[in-house]
Amino acid sequence: MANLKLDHLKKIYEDDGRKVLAVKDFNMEIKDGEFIVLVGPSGCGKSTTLRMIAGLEDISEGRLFIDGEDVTTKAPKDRNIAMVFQNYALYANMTIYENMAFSLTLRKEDPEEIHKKVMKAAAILGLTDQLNKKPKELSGGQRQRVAMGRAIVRDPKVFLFDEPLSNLDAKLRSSMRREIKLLHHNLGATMIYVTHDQTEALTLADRIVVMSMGKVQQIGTPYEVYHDPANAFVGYFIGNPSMNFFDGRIENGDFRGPKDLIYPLEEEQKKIVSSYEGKPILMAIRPENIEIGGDLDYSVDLVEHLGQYSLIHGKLGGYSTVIKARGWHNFKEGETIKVALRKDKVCFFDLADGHRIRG
Amino acid sequence: MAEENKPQSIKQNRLSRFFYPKGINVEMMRYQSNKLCYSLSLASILSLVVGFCCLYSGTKISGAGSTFSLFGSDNIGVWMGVDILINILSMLFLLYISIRVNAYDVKCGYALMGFGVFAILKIFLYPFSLFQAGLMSHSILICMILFYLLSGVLELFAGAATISRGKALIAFLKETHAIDLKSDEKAGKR
Repeated sequence: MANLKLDHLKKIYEDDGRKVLAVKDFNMEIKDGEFIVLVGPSGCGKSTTLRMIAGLEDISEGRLFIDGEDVTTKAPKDRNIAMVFQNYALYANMTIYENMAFSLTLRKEDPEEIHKKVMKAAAILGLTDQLNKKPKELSGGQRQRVAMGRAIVRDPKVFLFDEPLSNLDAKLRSSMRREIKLLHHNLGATMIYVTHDQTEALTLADRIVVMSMGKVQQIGTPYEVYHDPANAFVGYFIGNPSMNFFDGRIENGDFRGPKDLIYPLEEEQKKIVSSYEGKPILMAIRPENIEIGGDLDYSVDLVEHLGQYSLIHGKLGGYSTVIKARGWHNFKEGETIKVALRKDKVCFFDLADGHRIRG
Repeated sequence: MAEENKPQSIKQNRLSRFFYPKGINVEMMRYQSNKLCYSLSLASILSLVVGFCCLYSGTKISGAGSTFSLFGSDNIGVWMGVDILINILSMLFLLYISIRVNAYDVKCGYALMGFGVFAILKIFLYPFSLFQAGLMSHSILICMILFYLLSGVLELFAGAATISRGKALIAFLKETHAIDLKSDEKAGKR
């Protein structure tokens, strides 16, 4: 297994003389055995970053090191990495056994060694009974496991996953997530995983890299990224439902929105936003941190029941808001209830550039 | 002396490992087809076709003082038709058998060996009669014999290998309870 260093990586595409900066200054060190997830909306540069690591895209600027070795200009086959693609990329005319053995056969390895590696990978992934079948005879989840098996047999330094679960249905995605997590635990391998699904990111990652428009927004553990977002984009993108945002100003120690919301700040919060007196600011809080019962009026529009939780859609001081409350709540449309914001969970962001205000 | 013998002993080991696979080699057969025997049986078909073409491109149908006779009949046209029919049917059956051989089918291994023997014996029937009747030249005969012989040898080798390897695979599958003991006839098929 290996550690990686992505040293100020940049990817520039040229199109009819116009330059497009797809990845801007990606700088990160990945420890041996870490599970890193690159997450972000479509077009944010996460797959491009992954492909640069794989060698499928040239690195325009910066350097890439795997285990201390500069592999920036090395061919993909010489980087000792394995990639699992979204569309499996299996050979339809070969059996599962042949698919998994193919890369080793190309390397002219000993047939007995190839067999041992394939059988070991098949046992790990529960594919032993499927080895004589062709890909078309397998389900989507099984095909994806074959793709993973093909990567495992190569015994690479780094595993790269490019949205491997995107083609699967929700239930299968859930079970495959568990399998990938288990695989990481069993192999102890360094893995870099790309997804646009923040649930996958939160459940799989040791550390998450949130990207947007080619730029890294935040690198942190799932806890840090969820509870301590570095900017408004991270707060919005991570979490389902996403954070509730309120734009307004700080006036006389209170947060005041242009609509009806007046929220008195605590001393700790006043210290944080002290430099923003009279200036526009963004206040945000996660839906589960708005509690039923308090001083603020909340006008209910709709209640969604999720079994253990209820999503209460409504308006807080004129702002569209979502509350995630434990239990089964039967509030009626148009009903006004009292709510309170958990003081320690309120975040403030600069309205202009979205960065987190920490005082 | 020991070094001179080494390559030979390695070849023998490879050959015996091929005909009598053991251990991990049998397990590998479970997931890999009998490619070499399949290729050899296809090659035997090709050899048969070439020999067949040699025979009919270099043969006269009739000639002055011809003394053709086969099983008491001198009707060369009829025997030509029979020979052509036998060759066409042989090729078709061999094609089918090749596909089964690819899947370690023991019965088809025996059939392939039978075709191999037949390919060699066939030389001494219609073709030899033509030569003896002066309707085929010596060079054409040699050419035809070589290709028919090659076809027969390839079929015998591929058939024998399929039988021994197929039986080894069946034994392995029985041992690992991968197949029902009562249906061992089907076990060699994929």
